[in-house]
Amino acid sequence: MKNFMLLAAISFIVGIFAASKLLPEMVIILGSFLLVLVLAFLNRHKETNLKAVLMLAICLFGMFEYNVFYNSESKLERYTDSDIIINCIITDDPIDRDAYTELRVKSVSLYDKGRTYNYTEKLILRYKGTDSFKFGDLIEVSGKLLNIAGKRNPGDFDYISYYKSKGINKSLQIQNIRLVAGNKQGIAAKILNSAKNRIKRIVFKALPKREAAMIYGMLTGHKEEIDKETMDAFKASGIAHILSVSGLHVGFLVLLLNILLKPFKLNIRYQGIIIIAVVLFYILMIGMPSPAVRAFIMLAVMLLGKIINREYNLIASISFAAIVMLAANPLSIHNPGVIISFSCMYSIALLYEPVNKLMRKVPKPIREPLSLSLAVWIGITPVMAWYFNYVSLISILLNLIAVPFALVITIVGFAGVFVGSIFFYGSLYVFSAGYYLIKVLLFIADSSIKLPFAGITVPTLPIYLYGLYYLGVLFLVNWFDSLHYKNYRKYYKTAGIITFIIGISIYLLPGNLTINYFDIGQGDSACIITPNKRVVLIDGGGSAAKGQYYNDIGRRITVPALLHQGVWKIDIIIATHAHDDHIEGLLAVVDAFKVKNIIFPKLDYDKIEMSDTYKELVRLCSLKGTKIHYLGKSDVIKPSNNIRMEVLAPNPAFEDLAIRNLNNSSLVIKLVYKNFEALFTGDIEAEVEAILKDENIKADILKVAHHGSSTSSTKEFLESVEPLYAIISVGKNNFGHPKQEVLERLDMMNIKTLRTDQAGGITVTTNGNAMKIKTIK
Amino acid sequence: MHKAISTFLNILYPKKSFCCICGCEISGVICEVCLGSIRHINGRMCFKCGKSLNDSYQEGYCPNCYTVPYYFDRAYSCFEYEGTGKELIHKMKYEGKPELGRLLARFMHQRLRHEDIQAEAIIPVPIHPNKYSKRGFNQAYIIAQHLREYIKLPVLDCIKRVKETKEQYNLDKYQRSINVIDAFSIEMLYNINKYNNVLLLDDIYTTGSTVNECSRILKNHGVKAVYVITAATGSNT
Repeated sequence: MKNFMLLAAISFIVGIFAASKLLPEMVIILGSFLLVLVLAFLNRHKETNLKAVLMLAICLFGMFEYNVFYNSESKLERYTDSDIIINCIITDDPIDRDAYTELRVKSVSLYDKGRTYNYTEKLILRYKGTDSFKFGDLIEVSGKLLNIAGKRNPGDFDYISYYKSKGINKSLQIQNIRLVAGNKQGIAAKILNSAKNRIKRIVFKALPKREAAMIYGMLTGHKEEIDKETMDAFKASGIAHILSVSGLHVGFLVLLLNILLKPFKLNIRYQGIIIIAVVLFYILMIGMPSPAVRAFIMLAVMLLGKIINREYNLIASISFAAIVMLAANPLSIHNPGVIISFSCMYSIALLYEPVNKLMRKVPKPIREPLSLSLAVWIGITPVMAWYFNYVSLISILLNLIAVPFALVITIVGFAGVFVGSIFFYGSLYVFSAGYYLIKVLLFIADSSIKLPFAGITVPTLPIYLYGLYYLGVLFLVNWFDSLHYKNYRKYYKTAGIITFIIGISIYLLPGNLTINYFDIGQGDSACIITPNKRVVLIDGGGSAAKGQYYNDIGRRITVPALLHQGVWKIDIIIATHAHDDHIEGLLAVVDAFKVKNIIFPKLDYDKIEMSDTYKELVRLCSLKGTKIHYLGKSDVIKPSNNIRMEVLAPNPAFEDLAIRNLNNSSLVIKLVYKNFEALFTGDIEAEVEAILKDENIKADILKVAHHGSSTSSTKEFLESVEPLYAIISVGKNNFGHPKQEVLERLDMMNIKTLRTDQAGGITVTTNGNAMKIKTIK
Repeated sequence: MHKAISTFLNILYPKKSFCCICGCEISGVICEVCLGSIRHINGRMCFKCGKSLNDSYQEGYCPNCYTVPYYFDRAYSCFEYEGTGKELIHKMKYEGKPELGRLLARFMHQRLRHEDIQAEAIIPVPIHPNKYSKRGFNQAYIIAQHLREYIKLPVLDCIKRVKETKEQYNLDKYQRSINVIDAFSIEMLYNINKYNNVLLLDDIYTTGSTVNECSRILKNHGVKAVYVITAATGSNT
């Protein structure tokens, strides 16, 4: 293998990745183990061994650097959760979120007990007022300093690390805000920002809003002006990359500059310097998005190669860019933009040639773009599935059309801005060409997502399967043959096949029973995955208090949480009772997944006025072909062989209880798997508990009834359940759940209590005898 | 420090590991098969221009060199400008693979090794600045730089191309010779008159017009003998 840069980049990434997944203590142990290996290698004197030693050293350095960066503490740490007053400068244009305005600022000074400290740190401000502020304003704000909100459920996107990678550790909930002075930014920032604003002014003056937003987004990467429907259409059809400034745009710019500079017949050196300078100005102006920085580094390597007469190597320069960017900030590994950009480039470098060879039957004019698009798609699909749980199929074809369009539109855009900055009305003539192209592009994006099979939703799979996928792809294109280890070819082929079989069988073979109690705010939702991957969902959360703290819980939290659990389809949904905080989220779930069965409590529904949500859910289920069952006492659900779910309530003998209070109609279910028992109580209150307490309801884990309300969880009931753990599924609410007396009662009886509002999502894993409980926070 | 930089550059720009002609995987620039298919000039050759002579042709000079006087003393060439050899030159010049210069320099070294020429400097044939900025390099200069490592002679980039001439390849013999007239000049900075024997280096020799014109001005500036080495030569008779 000639390309040492690739090996170095791989070991660096592996080191950083390992450190991001492991505890710091483990890193030290692993590091010392590797050091021993290094010393063993040092005794020999071959070039390959030197390479191996170097790779290990780079790997270790990556681990070390990651930990240094990750554990660097915020200067404002000791003010967390307290009210502070700070002066800060706005460093970016305000972003208008739905409920609030988000300001990115850099703090200048902090007042504390009459003293001023000069702390410089990046912060996010959330601000609900009406006054508008702009880039460069010096403001004085007071408010509560908060940590960035982290994950809620397993598999959620890690916002803490993401913001940490951008140097932001804290956010501030603003109470008061006051403008101190305007225009306080540095001269360089001023020039860059005025250039950006100039582009914005020209574009928005010349074109209607939707098209102007598109052009502005394509030129500067600022997507906040683009309306949500357009953005969603572009995302779903897999061509969103032409809207954000990616390496593609830097490529377009270089192409344009090459055409412009051609008549001057410059020396290649000067031409290179001009191109580098313009591109540098450009990426500084648009705020250094990581794909553009990556493209800039690669461009610099390419031009340097031209000047010193060395042949450019794509893989080496990608790897070089990766090493530079990760060494500058190893936390970038938490930034999806960086990961997507690099996986895109690597798939072009490694897969384009083989795919092109494979498609030799395809007519030549479309072969090259098609194989490029396909190569990128093959390489990037797992990454997209990992981050967005969505794989766009249409994007392979759509990119063939969209990328040339984007090229022309970008060049027209640059030209229009250039002309417009000299003579505004001239730019209208230039933009008019781009206008219809954008119209066509918008039409393509809008209509393509309506096609069947435009894309599929894919749950998050165990991470080793992604590794196996790439291994498989590299084997299929015979990449390993290029390593020049001919003597070992037999062995690594065998090893690869064995790894593949082992990996697939680990995924397919029965595992443990897992129960996930999701953190869905005020509401209930638990997902049971049986050892042979049958999925039972008990309630789906929802918003009891609409609009106050929660909206669209099902789509925003329940569905992603299920996807992150690796759920392809749901076998049984159990809707314990028809209250919104239990079934509203199920609407989204039934819509998003294929659901085989849904179970409601057996009641005389004629006697009860049911809510609209319930009616809508029943309608949706019959529409999607989900079987609807009504179960009551002494029914048994068997989702798979050795798992029994006994229904203990509602009891038809006490139907009047249920009719008076819908909470008492809740399905109470006891799950039995070998020696493990868990009790799901829905929202039952003291009356039903009294009926149940004489039955065999002993369980290891109790989901505390009615979010810890004082109307439930009587002493007698708890005594007869005798749980080891009590789980309270609760969020911010107006009812005062969970009640203090319930918490005290649980505490007195020596039951360990876990609350989803404090612990986040709770995962119970059991093999039927021993169990393990994991929480997010 | 210099070594560290060059190691780093070698890693950043790893040496090509595909054959530039057939694309098969090797460690180097050209594979054995393609190397073997280059038609080297090994048999009888013209004592003046270095082109290979047909076996049926008995004389020591080619018919061309009998009739046309050349200013240079002797020209040598490595291989025929056809097939793989032609492709090699094209790859280097037009597809921007200057790293092939090393291979061509090695061929030249092999050709000159047994010849008795007391050259004191290597002088590459220049290209016009416009063409230079377009192509990014002068192929003759790059070959000369590599050849210097083999035969330890200084490289003098002392000739300048002052007239932007037409591309030679679609001109006939007569047009070629008038095309290059007064196309070159000598840079006086190099004190070219202190050298007695020089080696003029170019990539292709077809009718010899270019190297002839260069030799003419070199001799006008006091050089006693001009030897010419080219990588490829168009076949004759």
